[in-house]
Amino acid sequence: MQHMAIDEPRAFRLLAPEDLAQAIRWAGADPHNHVFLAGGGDLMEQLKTQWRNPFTIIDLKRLPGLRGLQPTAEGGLRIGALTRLAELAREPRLDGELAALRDAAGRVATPQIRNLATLGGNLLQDSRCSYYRSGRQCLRAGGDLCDAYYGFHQEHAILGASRCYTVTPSDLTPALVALDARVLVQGPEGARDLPLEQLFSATDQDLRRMHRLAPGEVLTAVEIRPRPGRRSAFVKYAARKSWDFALASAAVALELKQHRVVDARIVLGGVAAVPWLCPAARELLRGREPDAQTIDHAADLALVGADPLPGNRYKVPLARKAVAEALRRSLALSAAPPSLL
Amino acid sequence: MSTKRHSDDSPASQVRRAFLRDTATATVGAGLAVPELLTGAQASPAAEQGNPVQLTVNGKRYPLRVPDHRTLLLVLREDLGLTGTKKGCNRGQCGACTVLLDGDPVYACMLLAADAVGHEVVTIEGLERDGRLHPLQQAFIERMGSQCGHCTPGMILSATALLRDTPDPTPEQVREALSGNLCRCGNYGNEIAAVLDAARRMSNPWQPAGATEPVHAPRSPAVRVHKSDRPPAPPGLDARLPSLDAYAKATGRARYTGDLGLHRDDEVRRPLIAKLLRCPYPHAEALRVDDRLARELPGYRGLLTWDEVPESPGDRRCLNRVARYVGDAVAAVAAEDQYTAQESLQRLQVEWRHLPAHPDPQANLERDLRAIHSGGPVAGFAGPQPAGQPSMEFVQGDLEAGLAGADLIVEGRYETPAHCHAPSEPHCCIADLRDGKLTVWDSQQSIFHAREVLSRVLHLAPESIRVVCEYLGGGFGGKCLDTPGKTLYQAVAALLSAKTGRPVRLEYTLEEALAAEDVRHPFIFEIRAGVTNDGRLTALDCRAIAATGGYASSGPAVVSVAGEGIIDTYNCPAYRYRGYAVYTNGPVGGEFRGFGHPQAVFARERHMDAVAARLGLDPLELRRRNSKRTGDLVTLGVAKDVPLQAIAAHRCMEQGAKAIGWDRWLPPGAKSGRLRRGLGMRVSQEHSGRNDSDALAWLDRQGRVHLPLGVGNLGTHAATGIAVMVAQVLGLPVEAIDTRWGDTERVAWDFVTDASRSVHCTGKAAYNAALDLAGQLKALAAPILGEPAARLTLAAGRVSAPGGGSVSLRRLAADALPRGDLTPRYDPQTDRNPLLDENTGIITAAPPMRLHSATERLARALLRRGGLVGLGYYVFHPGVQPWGASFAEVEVDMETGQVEVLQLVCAHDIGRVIYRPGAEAQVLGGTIMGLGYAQREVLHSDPRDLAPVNPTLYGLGIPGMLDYPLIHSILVEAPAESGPFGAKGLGENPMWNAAAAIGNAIYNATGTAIDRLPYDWANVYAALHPRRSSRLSVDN
Repeated sequence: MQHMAIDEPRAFRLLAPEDLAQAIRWAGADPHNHVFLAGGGDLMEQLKTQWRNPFTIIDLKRLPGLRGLQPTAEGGLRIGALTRLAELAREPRLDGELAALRDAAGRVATPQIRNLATLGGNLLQDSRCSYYRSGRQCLRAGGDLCDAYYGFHQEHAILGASRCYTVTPSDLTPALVALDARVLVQGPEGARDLPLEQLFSATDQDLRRMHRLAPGEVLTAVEIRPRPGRRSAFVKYAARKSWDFALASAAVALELKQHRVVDARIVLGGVAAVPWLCPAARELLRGREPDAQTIDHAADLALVGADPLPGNRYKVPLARKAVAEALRRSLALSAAPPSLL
Repeated sequence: MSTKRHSDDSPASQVRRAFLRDTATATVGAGLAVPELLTGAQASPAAEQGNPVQLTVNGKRYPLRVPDHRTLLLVLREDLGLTGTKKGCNRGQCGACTVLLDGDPVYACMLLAADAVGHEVVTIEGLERDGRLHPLQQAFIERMGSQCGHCTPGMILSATALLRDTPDPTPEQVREALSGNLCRCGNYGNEIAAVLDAARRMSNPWQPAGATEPVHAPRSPAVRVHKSDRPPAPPGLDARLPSLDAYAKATGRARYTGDLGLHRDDEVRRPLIAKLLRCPYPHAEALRVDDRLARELPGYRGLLTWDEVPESPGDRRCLNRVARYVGDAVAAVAAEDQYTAQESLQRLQVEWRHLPAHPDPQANLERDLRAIHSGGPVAGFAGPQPAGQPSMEFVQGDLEAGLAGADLIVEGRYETPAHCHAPSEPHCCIADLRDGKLTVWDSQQSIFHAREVLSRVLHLAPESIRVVCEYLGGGFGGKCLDTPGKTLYQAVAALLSAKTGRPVRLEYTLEEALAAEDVRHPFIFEIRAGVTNDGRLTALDCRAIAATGGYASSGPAVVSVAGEGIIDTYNCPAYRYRGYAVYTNGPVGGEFRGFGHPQAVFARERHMDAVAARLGLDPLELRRRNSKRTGDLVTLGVAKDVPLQAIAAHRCMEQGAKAIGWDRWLPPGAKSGRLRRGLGMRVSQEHSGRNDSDALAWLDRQGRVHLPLGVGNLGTHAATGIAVMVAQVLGLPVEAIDTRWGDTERVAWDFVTDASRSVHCTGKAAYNAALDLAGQLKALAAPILGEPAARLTLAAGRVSAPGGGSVSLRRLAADALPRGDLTPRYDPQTDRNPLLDENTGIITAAPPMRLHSATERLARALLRRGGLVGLGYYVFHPGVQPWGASFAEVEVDMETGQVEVLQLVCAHDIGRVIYRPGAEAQVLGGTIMGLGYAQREVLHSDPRDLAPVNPTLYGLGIPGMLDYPLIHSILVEAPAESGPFGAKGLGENPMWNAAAAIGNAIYNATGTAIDRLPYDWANVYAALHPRRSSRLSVDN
């Protein structure tokens, strides 16, 4: 357990690289004892409780070229990893088709945090499980048991939990996975890109980390490709309306052709360690003109396999309600949404 | 403001004068745009190493040396002395440290100072331009924008950014923009109104600031203030003037304890930093603490452990060898700076002997457990006692006969959780103990009681201890050192100071403030009520078990007051209450706004609805039939069977019912569908304080009246209310009186600042002192004016005769002879009441009505300087009760268990409205705090290791600006004979507006009785959808 009386960081060296290549080189020079700092919303808290005490902090804040939105050749959008959440929340290019992303960004924490927090940082947050973050030797921290399973787990997973019941704290993740985003990564081995949903590690894959970036790799951007007839929505339920993590959230991206669903990507947040895709609901909606009954049915299917703990049974109907609400909202966009740009 | 100190000049009076200057001319003198830099070289030793950087703050460039790991917040406060930026949670969760970074609000505690290089930082000190306040500051001053004021600078800066982008915001936009700034006082409605008002001023520059509109009229749609049907008030009361300290708070000039030691003109400089070694286990004995590794650190200054702590009364020391809950303090270190102090703590090697933990109060009681304290499992007033002996028992009438005479007996069981104060300002003290003289600057509600307790704990004479607290960033009972059973961190700092020969500062982290400090007791109530078919109570039986944690703290007293809460609202011929404060190895239960009442009122009022349901009676009607009225007997408290002075319980119920539309009430059986609405209510009494108060009003030789009050400055604006009354008696404007507080060597003695007592108790003493002074003035003027004193009046700084002659106070003061007799004035009919000595438990029926020696000493010192001294005294009358009724309307989603509170109506009988903006702020803020208690706020402990699980502001769910519904406040007036102008207490009552009314509304909507707080999604869902199978057998 950490000392209760501590709330300032241990000394570290703060390195401010001039460009991405230098950042990656410096990370390689201290491969096991460095962290990257962006907005700091998560990292500063880790440092101040001395839960994490890295020797080297590589400050990405001032790196050039990683902030802002850019059109891509194929008509999509590339969003730099250092783009602030506040910028996303008021970005006019995210109206319409990408509303889920804009709304998710606007629901993160508080205005003050959104002014510093970055897109990349939001995707790469560590678990906020209070057992894990307290310094207890829980399963995720290398111990034998998930303390939350036996203890206080109102906010923990109802889906896909394998021994550890943590949930993803990110609001942007479900929105971006629903929008079928890819992430661009730069590392010692060069550049790569992958579907966002593959960035995260489920508890049965890697218990120790929420994401699968290799040491020294930097998430540089997110890319969203255009989809004709797509509309999206994000719904978040939290105990408070600001500065809170989702108890359950749902992002929906529907591709419609003459009111008929061509594709439906439904993603839950706050209910599993990873953004939770709902294939059964997707199958149900494909080819249909959704009515109220279909929406309810899809919401039921989205929660197939839910296996709550005694203290978080409420999350099942809550997540179901979030899905239904997100579906309704995305369908209620009557006018054809504007194109991406 | 450049401040030059005069020997008789407190910072409070300085900023007050600046404020008066400012409100008169809408400008401030010099402004504080350029802070007095602590450096050439910086103040903080930590900054002596570090990289040279240049920071731009408020348009000025500062060359500094900043270590990589130092946050902007610490640089602003500790290196630049810009303490207008407040340190709250220090974890990016509260918003008190909000500053502008290139115009955008950010949390300074979450930003490394190095990352602010190259950006423009603006703090509250930078908002003033050319000696003028920013319109937002002006609006916050005039519209009660602050209660404790600790969140105010951050709020104002967030609002600055909003108005830059959105000059004409809607209330919703204000709420959204300020949603990252928590206000634990719950002053949100006033803050929104202030921002909207500032927007109007800024869009209409031709309107002189504050000139044309009423000073205070909240307009937010979320705040609706009703006028009450009040008897005519004497002219001058109920004024809408700004609070006396509003200017200091809105400008960042208010110095809270944590801000001290960081300015050149502070009395204390360069304190050492102390940190507490807290036990991570629920029950363990510290065998050895070794600081060998810490001693290698150059800035390390020493260790203090349990065996260096003197014997003190009670079951707890400031450091304990046997730790009895997670977070119990066993040792402390001191170092030159915070980083070294933390590193020293990390380097301590501690050897623990683990002891079995006992978390369950019921089990501990059943087993008569002796393992936590050898005297037994029950915390009694005289110490630990056996299970068979309740902490408090109240019996009256023949319970069995009452139950036998009932047509119906209804039983119920109710549970309430641990609840954190979560004040904006973390607990902080600086202690300087040298040559047997101790000065403690402390975040403290009750400076005189703190002095008394520290005297007993440290074995120093009270006269050799000085306690100072001018501004307190939220107290709520959590910063009230009124028994030696508290955490006593002040004593740790004092002992470290003695050991090191330096002043020592000890400041809590967020986690310490939430989990290591006292919490609101979790309670279990078992209630049995007998009623007749026509709804009259015949008997009431209650057994209450409160988990008081590792130590008694205020446990026995809280359990007693909870008994009053159970029994004293309704007329009932027979009752029995047995209350047990039971030791556990959980968090320590202490005093917290309401002191047992919130728990008891929840249980009793849920039970009344259960009774109403069984009888098929409208819950309002059941309460009307049983609730007490004026003249009914107060059955409990310091004096039994005292008749109630005027109360308006039934008027509160009538007006509240009308406001919420109670005629729409239908029984649960009439509801159907997924979304169901319900109405619920509660009614209850409270006390107006306890014990006695002194007061002193001094007319100096220049004709100025000084009012040095012993009252604590928690943000309730009690000092303003008291000054209003004194001004009224003396015929002076409030501004003409030099009102000050917060220093045991400069103000009149007061018992304590809690129990809703300030305006009533301290206020009555001050009222008496003012009458005493007025009487002396009239007696002196009578021969000069040739009229009998009884025919003279005081107005506009003169004593006047009916015929037209008058003489100035100044002249009377200049000629006065010093009084020899220091007998205070009081009204023998209403002010001399039974007095409890809490150390002995002895009640004196007719107390001697003498001033405390501290007040006498102050009076003599002032008399030596000339002028006249008025003295007043008051002993609390138990028949003075503020009453309240509250009503809730909710909508419940039957499928998910989501409860939406649609509106709350809160009607309070406070006797007489003295200072309306302050009273309204208490109602709105207390209601919001109670709403958090009702809906979310629980400090959870892990069932296995008993460590707190969610000690964060988001983990607890402290209500923010987007988290409360429409709140209607109705102030009802039934003036009490003993009250000054009839005023009663108010501070705590609003705390229980929400929980029972919401619980009853949920029952009304769903037909499901939920008798356990909080009404969060997990609990409501679990109640609406009981679990069918258990899965605890699953392997993990």
